[in-house]
Amino acid sequence: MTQNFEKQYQNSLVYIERELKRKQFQNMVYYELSSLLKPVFEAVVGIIHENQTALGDDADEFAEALCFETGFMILEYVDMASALMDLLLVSKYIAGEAAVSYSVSGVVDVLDKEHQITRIAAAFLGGLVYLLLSS
Amino acid sequence: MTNITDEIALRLVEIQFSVLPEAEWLMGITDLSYFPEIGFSLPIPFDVSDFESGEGEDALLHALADSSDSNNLFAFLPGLFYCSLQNTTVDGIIVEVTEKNLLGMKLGSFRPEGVRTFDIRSGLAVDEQGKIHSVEMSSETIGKFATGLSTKIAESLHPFLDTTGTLSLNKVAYAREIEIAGSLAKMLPLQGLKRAYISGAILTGQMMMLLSDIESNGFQPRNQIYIKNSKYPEGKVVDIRYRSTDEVHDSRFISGVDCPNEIDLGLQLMRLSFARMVGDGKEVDIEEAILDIVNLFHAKLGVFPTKDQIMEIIFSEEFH
Repeated sequence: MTQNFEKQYQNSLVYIERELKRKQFQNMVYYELSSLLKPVFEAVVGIIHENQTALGDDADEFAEALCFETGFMILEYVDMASALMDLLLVSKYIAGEAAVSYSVSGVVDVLDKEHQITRIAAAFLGGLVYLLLSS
Repeated sequence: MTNITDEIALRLVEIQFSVLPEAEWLMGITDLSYFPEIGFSLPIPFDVSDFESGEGEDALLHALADSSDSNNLFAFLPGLFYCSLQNTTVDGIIVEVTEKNLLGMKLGSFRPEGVRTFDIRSGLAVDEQGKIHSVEMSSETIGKFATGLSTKIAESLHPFLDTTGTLSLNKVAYAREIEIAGSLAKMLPLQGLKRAYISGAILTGQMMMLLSDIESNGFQPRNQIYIKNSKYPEGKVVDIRYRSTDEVHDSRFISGVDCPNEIDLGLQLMRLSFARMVGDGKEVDIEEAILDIVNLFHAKLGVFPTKDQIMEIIFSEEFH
């Protein structure tokens, strides 16, 4: 993994852990919570783009695995590891709704291959935001 | 078959490989208490002498035995499944559990968290005032749950539109996902999530693919199976033959599925044996498990049920 995005990934996780433990995250509004979690998922996308050659056809699968792992760590910070069971379901639900939503809003390239990694990361981010807020 | 119909609960089962809606998915009906959940098997040692019949075939048998040699665990789900990429239904799913290492992370070919069942009795719908209410699971009532965001969106993304009235995802990535998550959290606690998920347009559409196929073709064996293994890491539907129901019985083999076009795969599948949890708890091979489930379908729903009859059963029984 490349230095910069890996560093961003590690630093974001440390910050997320501190903030989630410090604040009553259940009372945060969704965009505050999203802003807190988004950098770690942007780092995931960065890591994957920088390692595109090494990952080849496995990039999507790797993105899913790393996002899942990241979700697990974040849920563990707040003793919600058991919610992991529902992370894939809620993330898939959000990704599906988002794809429809982007399309009807005039986003013409939603399903393009180049956006897949970002959409995977965004789906997991959405899934986590939902799970944390509805806990 | 022993009388196991009282112990079973037919359920809708989804196998998710990705969070993206356009990616591969498998959806089927099975009895998850049969194994329970998923059957796992390590291949039993292959003994070529079991199959040797005479001159000339030995070299071929040894070559086939080598090519089907695997010591990985296999996951198995018997049941009628719709495969999204192949647009067809199969009698069961078999996945060889393999792992590869990428950038220091282990990627498994099979993610148990991606296999889910739906132990729900009713769905959700949103009325014109935006109020959520419970609906019975039927082909008329489901598919009508949405966060309502897709129609409101045009306004919020409007400032980003370019002169042609279109937009690239680059400019607005993460925006919809975040807003949908926020709305869902306001609308619905976690317990309601599965009901919302299954009542959404996408999942309902996928489920209808399966139910329409059953309505047209019945609960007859499809004589094909979905396999994901080292040879077919992307997954493949292969033809199979059930020896116990086959008129042209091959006397060299006692039972077990046969893959007429993939002899090495057939030998691989013959080495698998699973402990079923219902009835006598005995070891079954792939063929026996599949035919058990086919018999359960017939006992519960007959051969040609309608979509609504199927939905009534899979969303109403006590869950074990």
